[in-house]
Amino acid sequence: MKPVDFRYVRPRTLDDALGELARANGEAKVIAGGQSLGPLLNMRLARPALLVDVNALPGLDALDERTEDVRFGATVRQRDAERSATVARRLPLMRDALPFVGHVHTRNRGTVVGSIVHADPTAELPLVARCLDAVVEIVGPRGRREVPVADFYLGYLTTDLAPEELVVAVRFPAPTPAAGAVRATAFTEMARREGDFALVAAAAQLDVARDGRIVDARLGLAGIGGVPVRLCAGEELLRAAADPPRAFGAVVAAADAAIDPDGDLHATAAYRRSVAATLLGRVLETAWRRARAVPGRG
Amino acid sequence: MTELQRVTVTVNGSARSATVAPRRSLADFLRDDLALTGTHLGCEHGICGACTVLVDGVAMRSCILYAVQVDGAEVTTVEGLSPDGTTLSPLQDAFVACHGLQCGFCTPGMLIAATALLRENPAPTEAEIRDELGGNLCRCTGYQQIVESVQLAARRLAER
Repeated sequence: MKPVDFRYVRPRTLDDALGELARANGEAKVIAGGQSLGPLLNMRLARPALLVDVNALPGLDALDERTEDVRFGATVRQRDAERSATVARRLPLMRDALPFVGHVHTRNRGTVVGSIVHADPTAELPLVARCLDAVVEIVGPRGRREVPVADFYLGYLTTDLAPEELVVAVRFPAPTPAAGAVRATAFTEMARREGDFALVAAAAQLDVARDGRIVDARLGLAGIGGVPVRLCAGEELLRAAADPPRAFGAVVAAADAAIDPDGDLHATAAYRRSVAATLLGRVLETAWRRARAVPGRG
Repeated sequence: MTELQRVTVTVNGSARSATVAPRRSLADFLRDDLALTGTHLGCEHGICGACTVLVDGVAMRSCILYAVQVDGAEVTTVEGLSPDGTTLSPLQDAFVACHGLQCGFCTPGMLIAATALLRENPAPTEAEIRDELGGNLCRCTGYQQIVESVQLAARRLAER
C-alpha cells in the first residue's frame, strides 16, 4: 500500500505548473485535495512519474458568487462549499449533495473541482455539475478554453482534459428562477456503507410556478454508466405536465428506457436499474414536497 | 530513486524535520521518521480513519497526504492531545470512563476526530457525533461507548 516512486513539485505560478506538465510527456498527475488520487496512488492503480501540486497557485482557492453563476477555483475544499451561504442560496442542489461526498475528514481536504475532474461515474459532484450545466475552465499550452460538463465527460474516469492541461475552475450557472417560481431540490443515493461510493445516485431540481406547473426541471442519475446522465425526456414530461405529480410515473419510466446500466461485482445491471427507478421517484417526491412547503404554495 | 526532499512540520508544537521521498505519506513520516507511533495505519487508502490527524487544526487522513504536501504546516497527533504530556485530556479521560475503546487500534483517529468536532461544536447531538465519526471504523465497540465518551467529554468541558 505504498505508491511507486514519484517526483513532486508545488509550483507558485500557473506558467510553472503548465511547464511542468508539458515537460512530463503525459506522465504527470495534478493533485489538489488528493482524496481520490491518494488511494489510487497507494494502491498503485495510478503510477505517475510526477505530481504537480496546485495548492500554492495564486487565486485558485476562491469561491466567487457572481450575477450569472458561482465559480469554484480548483482548490476550494468540499467542506468550505458545504458551509458556504452562497452555495446554500445559489446552488441548493450542490448543498444537498455535499454531505454524501465521502466523510467530513475527506471533505476537509478534497476539492469540488478535483472531484469533478476525477470523473468517477458514481461521484456526486459530477452529477450535480451535469444537472446544472457547469462549465469547466481549462488552461494549457495553447491558452484557455472552456468545456461544458456535458462534453467534458467521455467515459469511465475519462475526460476531455489533455495531459498537459490543467483545470483552474468550474463555473456553475445559477440563474434566479422565473418570476413567481420557487426552486426546490433533492439528492439521494444508495451506498453499501454511508460515505462509500454510491451504487446509484439521483438528483432533482424543480422550478415550480404559482399555478403548480414546472417551468424548469433538472434530473440526473449517476452510477448507471461511465458518465453521469441527464434525463432530458423526463424533464420535458415535467415541463409539459398540467399536474406534475401525476407525471412522475411516466418520468421514471422514461428514465428506465433511457439508461443502460452496467453490472459489476457490486451490483447487477438489473439491480442498478431497479435502484435508479426507486431513487428517482424519491427525489421527485421530495423536491416536489419541498416546493409545495414554501409558504403560500401547495 | 527520486530526489529526497527536506520536510519541516510543526508537530504538537515542536518543529520537526526529516528528509524523505515524495511518496512518503504523512502517516509514515510521523511514525517512521519522527517515531510518533500513536498515529495508526489501518487501510492506508483513506477509508478507516485510524490515521486521522489535525493539519492546521483540520482533521484529515494522514495516509493519503504526502509529507512533502504539508511542509510548513502544523500537525497535531494523538500524542499532542495531553495538556502537559502526562495527564489525559478531558476527552481521553472520558474514553477511559465510558470504555470508549477495547483493542485501541482505532482510538487515536477517534480522539482526533472527536477533538476536532468538540472544538467546532461544543455541544453536538448524538447524530452530529455519529456523522463526524462516521468515517472512523471501529471493529470492537459497536460505537455506542465511543458516542457516550464524546457526550461525557462535551458535558464535562461545558461545566469547566
